[in-house]
Amino acid sequence: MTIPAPFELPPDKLKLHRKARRLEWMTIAYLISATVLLYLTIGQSQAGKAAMIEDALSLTPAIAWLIAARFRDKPPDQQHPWGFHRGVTLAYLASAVALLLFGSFILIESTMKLVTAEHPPMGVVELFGEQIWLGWLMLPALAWSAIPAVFLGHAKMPLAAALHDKVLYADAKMNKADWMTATAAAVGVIGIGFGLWWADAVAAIAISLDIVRDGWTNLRAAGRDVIDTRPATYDGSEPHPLVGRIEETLRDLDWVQDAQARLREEGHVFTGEALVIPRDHDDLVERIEDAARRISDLDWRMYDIVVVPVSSLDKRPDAPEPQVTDVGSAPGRSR
Amino acid sequence: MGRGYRPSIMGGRCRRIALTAALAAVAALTGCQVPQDPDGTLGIVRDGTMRVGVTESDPWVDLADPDDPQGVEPQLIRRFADRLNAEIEWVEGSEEELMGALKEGQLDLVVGGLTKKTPWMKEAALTWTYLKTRLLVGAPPGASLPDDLQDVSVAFERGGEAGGLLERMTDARPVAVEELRDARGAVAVDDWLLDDLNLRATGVELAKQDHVMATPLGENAWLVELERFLLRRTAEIRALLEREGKP
Repeated sequence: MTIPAPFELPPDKLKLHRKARRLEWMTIAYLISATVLLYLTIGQSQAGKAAMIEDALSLTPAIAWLIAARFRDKPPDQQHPWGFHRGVTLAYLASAVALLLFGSFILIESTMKLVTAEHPPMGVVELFGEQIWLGWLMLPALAWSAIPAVFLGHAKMPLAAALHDKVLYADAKMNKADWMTATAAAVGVIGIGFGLWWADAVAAIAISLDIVRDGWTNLRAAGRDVIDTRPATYDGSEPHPLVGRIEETLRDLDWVQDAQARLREEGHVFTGEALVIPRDHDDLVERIEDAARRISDLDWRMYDIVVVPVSSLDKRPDAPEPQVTDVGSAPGRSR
Repeated sequence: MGRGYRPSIMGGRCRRIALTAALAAVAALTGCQVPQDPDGTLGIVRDGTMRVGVTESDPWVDLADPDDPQGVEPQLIRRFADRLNAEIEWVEGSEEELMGALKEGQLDLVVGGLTKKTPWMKEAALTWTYLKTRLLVGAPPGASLPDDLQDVSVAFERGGEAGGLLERMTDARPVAVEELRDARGAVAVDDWLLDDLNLRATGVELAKQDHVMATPLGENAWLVELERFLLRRTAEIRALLEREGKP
């Protein structure tokens, strides 16, 4: 029997979710402005180009999150018996792949520029009748791409932890780290100013390595979602305690001889099955429905649980613990 | 987005910001010129010799006498060289030869009617647009033409891009002529020739040309020096073009 919760988020979380949505809209508007500003000022600076692409790609988690926010509440229907929670994984995966590909592209391009000793040209632009060296314009543009992002990231981080929201978490983390990219690009520009032609390419390589690492971490996190890895705790080192609590709750019932649960994460929430070996078959249907309700009451994230009576349980071999170091599944570890 | 979050970031961030600010401050306070040339072109040219590649492109560069190039751009370069107290060494060649030499540091400057659309972006650093001109359709005063030029005969100089542009962008009937001066009726013409040919602009624009010069990649002090020279003289350059461009 299955009890999908009537709503995905409890009312207090819903308030946080609305706040997060406002922040994500602000993020989109802000990132577009930062990208356009960089586009107008980078000239032929490779580091500037890397910073601009990073800003543009930072849009994807925010957009993915907002799309998911629109669909997460849509109830399951005939065509979509599990609802739409999983949609966000798709968006998350796509943005990870984009990061990885763009990052690699810039890495290769910048390395080529360094190897072939291509000197970045940067001349003056005419702005309101004044001639200004492009480098002087680029520095404030980079500052705009760095400073507000850090504040946005800091504002989103606690929401991501409270909502157990991986995409929001990855997004907040990207924003918080934006200053590094901008600073590297600024160092590249200042290097050009001092006639150090290689500074630009070196800064671009540093930025692109960072983008690649981002893509890789997010790809692994998204990959773990796709194959339904066991939900983990904040620090990612242990299984999420809910699985154990479900099994305990079931074993505590006097009609249950043994029980085993497995959960998967779908967006903010968990779905899964609990297998029970009943001692006898009296009132089994009522008992199972009661057990499912008890499990649902354990945690707001327990969204949809199916309790199945079985005659025996398979023992699952314990896989070697994966090294969980990524950001995606560890929303508590914000700093 | 870099996610290497360590507890010490605050310290790291402050250090980096401080470093950046310090570099900028050093630049400002020491009055040391920013940007600088990795290969020192500006310093070498000043009170020295400027190696200028020229390629024929009427009215921008006229190489009737290869040792004494004329046209809009050589005249500008002479004034620029005067300012820097530099001798000019003219080098004649095809665009490809000159760009190759520029890239390998054998020339300091290449001119020859280059525009922003040039395919040499990767070999050379182009200046900011120092003059914008337009290729447009002109008509004799008093003649009234339909806006879309439907079936209007428009003369263009044989072998020029105007013929193709007319065909592609308008409904006009392009007619090739040897000399625009001899054409009667509507003519595809560069904007600086309108007065000389006693034509008025029709509002049909075929192309915009953003005129630039080419310097070696990354010699930014040199590039900026040239750009500042050019950008302060837009009106003067326009007048020079009207004079040099006379048919």
